[in-house]
Amino acid sequence: MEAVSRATAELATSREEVDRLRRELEDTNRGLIALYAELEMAREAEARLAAIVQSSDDAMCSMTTERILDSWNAGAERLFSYPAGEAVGRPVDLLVPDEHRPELDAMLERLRDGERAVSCDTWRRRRDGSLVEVAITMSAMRGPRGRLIGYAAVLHDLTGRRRAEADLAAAQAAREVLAARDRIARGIHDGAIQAIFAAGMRLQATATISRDAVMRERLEGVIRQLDVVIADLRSQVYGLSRAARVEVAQVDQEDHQLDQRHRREDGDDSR
Amino acid sequence: MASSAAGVRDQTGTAVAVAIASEADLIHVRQALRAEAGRAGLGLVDQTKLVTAGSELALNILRYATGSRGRMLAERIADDGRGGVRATFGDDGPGIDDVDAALVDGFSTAGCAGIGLPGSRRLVDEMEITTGGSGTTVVIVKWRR
Repeated sequence: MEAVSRATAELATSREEVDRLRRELEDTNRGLIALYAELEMAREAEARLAAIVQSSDDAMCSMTTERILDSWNAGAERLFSYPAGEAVGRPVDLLVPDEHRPELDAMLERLRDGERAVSCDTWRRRRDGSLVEVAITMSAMRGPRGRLIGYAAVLHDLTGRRRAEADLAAAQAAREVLAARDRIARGIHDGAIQAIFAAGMRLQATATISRDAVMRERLEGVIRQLDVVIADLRSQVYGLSRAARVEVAQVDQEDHQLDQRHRREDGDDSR
Repeated sequence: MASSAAGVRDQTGTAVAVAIASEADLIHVRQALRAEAGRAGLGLVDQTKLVTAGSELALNILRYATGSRGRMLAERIADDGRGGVRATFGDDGPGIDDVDAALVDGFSTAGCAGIGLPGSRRLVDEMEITTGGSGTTVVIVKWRR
């Protein structure tokens, strides 16, 4: 009888234990599912970010606090001609011309001191040794509790922008030269030709009232010469300003073509 | 009635003490930590991380501590209005020879899966180990997000 009640008590204890285990298993399962769901969400978010970085036209890369490159997107491959496999794991100094190293040191120091992002226009070295002008923005990557875990950089190639600026400046200079020529032509027309014309009119008047036939003959000869000079000046002035107008038109058209070419080249760059 | 000496829980204020002496106590450690984490407002994911870390530390006591005995104290804490749970695991020896090595990911020298310490550290926000011949104390903290 006693044995039965002892066995019953043991059974009850075991049931309790099994019940506790079952509940613990259920709780653990729920926790694992939640953990897995969170992991999957984090992975998706990471994949989305990676896609943004990878599809960017700009060069993007990151480095450790020890200046070792640890990520490298397709834009960086295009800008520097280093494939990701060759750039990752190497020091960032690989890309920095010696004379720009202090500038990089200063940027990193500002980021370490707590600035969120720093930018500047500077020069970087490509794989073939050639230099490329870039607009660079660097930011500090910080982990939980603000600990610095590395730096991220976005680099934009300034070559196209600089070429467009130079072309624009050259076109503007050419246009100024032509405008000056036009002004000179108008000055000759308004000043010299009008003065000669007025002198001719006065001579004509003098010839009309002159009684001396020889003098009249002479004056009329001079007037004819003046007419020839005026006609000559007119045709030259006309040529000068017409040429100026045509050239301005040509420059404008070239500008337009340049613009179009740049736009096409920019399109090429973005492929 | 049938409350075994090993499973005694002692609630003092917001602290819960669990004695660790047998494998059944792993369940008690897990349940105590889950309950405290729930009261502190930790989400399901953070609860699971804390419970798993605590379970590993309790298992370490069963495996390595003198007499396979130790204890856990779980308490709710607050810092700047943010709630959290602190769990303190203690034993009476023999201590960890090389804490740095014990914290390296991989496999421990004892041949058991050494995910215990480094894995636990990864699951919680803070971990502090004090060790010596007279015993080891591991304190872990998990904060509400």
